[in-house]
Amino acid sequence: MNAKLSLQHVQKTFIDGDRTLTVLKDVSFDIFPGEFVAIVGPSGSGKSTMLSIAGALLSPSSGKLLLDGKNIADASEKERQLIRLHQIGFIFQSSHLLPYLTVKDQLMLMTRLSKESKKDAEHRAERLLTELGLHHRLHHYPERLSGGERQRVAIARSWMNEPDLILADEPTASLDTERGQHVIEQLAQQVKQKKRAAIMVTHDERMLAYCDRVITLEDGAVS
Amino acid sequence: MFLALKELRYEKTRYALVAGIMFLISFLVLFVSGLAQGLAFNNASSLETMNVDHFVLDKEAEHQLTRSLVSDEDQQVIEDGEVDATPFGLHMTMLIREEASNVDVAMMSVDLNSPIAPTIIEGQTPSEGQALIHESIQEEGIEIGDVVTDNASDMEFEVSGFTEDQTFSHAPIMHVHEEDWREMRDGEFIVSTIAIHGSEEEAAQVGEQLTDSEVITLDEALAGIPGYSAEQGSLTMMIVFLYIIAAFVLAAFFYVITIQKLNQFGIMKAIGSPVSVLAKSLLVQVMVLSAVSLTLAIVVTLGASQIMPEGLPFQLTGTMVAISAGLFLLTAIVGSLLSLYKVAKVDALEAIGGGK
Repeated sequence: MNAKLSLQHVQKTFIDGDRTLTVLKDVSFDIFPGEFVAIVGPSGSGKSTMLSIAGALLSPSSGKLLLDGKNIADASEKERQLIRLHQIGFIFQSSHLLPYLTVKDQLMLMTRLSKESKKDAEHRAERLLTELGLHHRLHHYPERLSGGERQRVAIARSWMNEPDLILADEPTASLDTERGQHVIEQLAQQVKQKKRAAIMVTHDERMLAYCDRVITLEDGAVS
Repeated sequence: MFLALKELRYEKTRYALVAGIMFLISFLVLFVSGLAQGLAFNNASSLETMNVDHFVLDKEAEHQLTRSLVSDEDQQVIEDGEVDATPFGLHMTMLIREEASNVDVAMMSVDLNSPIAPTIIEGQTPSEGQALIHESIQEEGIEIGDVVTDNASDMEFEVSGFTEDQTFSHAPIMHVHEEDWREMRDGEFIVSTIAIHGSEEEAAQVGEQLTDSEVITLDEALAGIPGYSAEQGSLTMMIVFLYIIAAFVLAAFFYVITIQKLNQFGIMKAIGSPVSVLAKSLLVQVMVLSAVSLTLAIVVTLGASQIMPEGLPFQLTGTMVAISAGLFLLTAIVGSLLSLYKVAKVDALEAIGGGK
């Protein structure tokens, strides 16, 4: 089976004044379809940078980044924007929903950005929200939702354009244990069902039980 | 459109405040423009209603109609030429009244069958010893049949009728009979100015043949009226400053709102939104707010002009409204440029906690 996402000897350096900071030294790993992988590591180990590179937000300084077998390490700004829109779903630390859109519109925004037909999208949005137990919240604004509900809307949004890869940046940080577990459970379920790949950066050891594999980053390298 | 309108609807109070400020500024712009135009018309409605673009004046008159005296030779040149022209006399004087205050008037004599003859709204064409005066003289208590004395010549005139849109240098114009005009200057008809009814090329051709006189445009003639430029200049300066203030206020408002939303823009970029969608959304909001506040300002200005006191010179033409509206929209766009720049530069990494 081919890897969904493959990092090969990825290195990332930042220039900070007259110093050069090497945040990622040499990171290599593969993620396969249907796999839910956790990335752990102390703060400053390069987790967020790694996630930004995997999510086509940053370009690696050197190394290869294969998404569906295609190297996107040197993709242009415009290409990376399209990759983010169509092939990657993001879930952020706090839900980061737009305050002025209703739950359903949060999802519809994704299809508007990808210029997809509205009718299919409405079905899919309602189905996704129903699966995540949010059917009664379709027309509510984020301010009326609980933290767990918001995070589930964010998950639904990340699925909306049916991406190959889901990237979650500490998705349970703003939730209590019970809600956090519930959210991750649903995320894991969706990954299995739809044979997508997912990477989750987390500090929370209790969430690791739902993951297939744990990758530990330390000082910018896989340990 | 989708994002822009949904946000305007959600953040009603915030955007209503911005629209409120825009409404007040655009209302002020329209109001001062109307006042400037009204004052200009009130100052020299006679020249503006003549429908003449060029005048022949004495070269030494410095564009002042009342100071000009066209020489006999030049009069002859124009008379012999092919271009239609109407000579007229004009000077400032004062009417003396017993037991009432004196009144400033501009005395004018012109062929009442010519294209630039005044429109009589009441009374009849004057014969010798009679005069037509602009209707505003009624505010001084002068009526048809009254006899007034000209201070300069000591001649008496009976008021035969009233005219409309005949003022010069904010004074009502008194049209007298050609014979009376002659009598004032010992039998000679003094020509102050000649109005040229022709194209710009024709007027230029005429100008080349003159020796002591020159051809000036309507705008130059207006600017030559004492006080006209100062009056219009200060009002124009107010209007220009209002546009500049509008641009700054809008820039500040939208900049603050944009800064507040940088995180949102970062998220949008991270989830794959192109910058163009974000920029378009901002521009649509600016345009919608401007259009709403402008419409409101136009309606309120036109409403206010209906209930204004008679004496207040206020005039707002459709062209003027259209120009002001266009300029205001342009100002709004200029005001949002700073925010657009900020949006274009927003970093998608802001969405991810420790992105850097």
